[in-house]
Amino acid sequence: MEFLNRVVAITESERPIAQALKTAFEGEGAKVEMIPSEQSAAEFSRAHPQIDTLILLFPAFPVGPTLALDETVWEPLVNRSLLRAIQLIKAIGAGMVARRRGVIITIGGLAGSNGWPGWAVASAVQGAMLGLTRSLAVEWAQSNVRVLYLATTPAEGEAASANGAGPTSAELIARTPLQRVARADELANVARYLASDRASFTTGTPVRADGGWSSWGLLK
Amino acid sequence: MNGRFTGRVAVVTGSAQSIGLECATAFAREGAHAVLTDINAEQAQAAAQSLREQNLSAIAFPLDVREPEQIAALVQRVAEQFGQLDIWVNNAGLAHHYDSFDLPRELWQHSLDVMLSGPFFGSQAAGKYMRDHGGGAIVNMASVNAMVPQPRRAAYCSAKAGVVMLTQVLASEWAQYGIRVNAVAPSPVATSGMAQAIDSVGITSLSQYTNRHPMKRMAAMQEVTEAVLFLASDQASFVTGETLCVDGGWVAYGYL
Repeated sequence: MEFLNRVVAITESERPIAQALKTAFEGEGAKVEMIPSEQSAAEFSRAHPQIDTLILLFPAFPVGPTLALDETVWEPLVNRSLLRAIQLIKAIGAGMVARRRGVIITIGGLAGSNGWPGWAVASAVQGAMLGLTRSLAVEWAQSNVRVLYLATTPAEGEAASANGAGPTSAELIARTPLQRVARADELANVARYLASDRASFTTGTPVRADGGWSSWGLLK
Repeated sequence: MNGRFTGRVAVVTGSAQSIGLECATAFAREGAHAVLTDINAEQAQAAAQSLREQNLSAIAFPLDVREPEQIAALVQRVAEQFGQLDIWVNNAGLAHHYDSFDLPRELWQHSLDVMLSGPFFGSQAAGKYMRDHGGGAIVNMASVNAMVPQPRRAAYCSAKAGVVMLTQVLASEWAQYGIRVNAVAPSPVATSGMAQAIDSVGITSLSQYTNRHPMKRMAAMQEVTEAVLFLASDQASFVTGETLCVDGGWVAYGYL
């Protein structure tokens, strides 16, 4: 029971990966709190003073030609992902730094590191989270708070985008060296490892669980 | 201990001492048959004997990873003895320090032979067996020096950077056979071999190494072996082509 007496907070509870994370962490004794999207970061943090692991999931973004993208669509999504993440990190991270124990893991896509046409805003948010991960990790390293970015391809049952655009499941499988998409529990296993004391010296780094996607350099 | 590797066969190169031995020991503690291999045959035998005295399954073979024929023969021997080979860890390594103007050809070649060609031919031999027997997991020992350069370590850094690319190429090529290939990139670890890594010109003391880490400490050997074991385990079933940093923030750091 690696997470006995530890509390894990997760955003975007309606996503299948959130449920898989809950199962994985509870299986190791953790108490899991889903962060309600309507609750402010400060209120959540007051109600739950001890959070040992914060897992930031993001909503799916609509994808398509950037010139056709409506500001009224992307602005609230940037607020709900990037700005919300910073608010939660500040509110919850304060307690982690004070207790000198904590792990913050963003689970996001691969478009923060590579160009995905039609994904400009989503990739900007992911790239921003990668930068945040690195700088915050080195800032809080001495406080024993680790910060990580888990980069994945969309898992089984997860929508790649909010508007049904982007790659189909068959296209994702064809492009993935392991020739399948991830099960949500496989991604949760990686997140749980990174959150555990077994990964106590791993911080400030993207970790990819992508079935080899990032290692593939040819058309397919 | 839980038995993540019960009944599996794990080969670790360069495992007579230090991180390699720690990895082999950790695999054995979690139920694997540990196969220790090292250029120092006597030391490897003694290490395996010591593990057996702890009621762990361990066996040692001499191996010079610079010799592909020796590697292929070892894979065959392991296959004959256990009827399986599930995990292969390319760990063997060494560290020279040399001003690049004066680095002798033999030392450049030695570093690349052990730390780049060794992992390639090790993976090739183990990978062929795994391809024909339903898959497996290969873990390469890279280094933060694959991403972050260090003066006077041209051969070491180049070999380790090569290992990261090798990891990705083999991952993309062999995923279809159920073979996952990953790497671990530790920052300098407080080992007995650490003296080798202290340079009379570059980083000159342990405290300089310690302070280069945002966490202001060095990795414990166990922190490195945990990453190796995780990547070799079924828990990492969707992870391939990845280089996992175990570095206290070393690679992330880019400030003063």
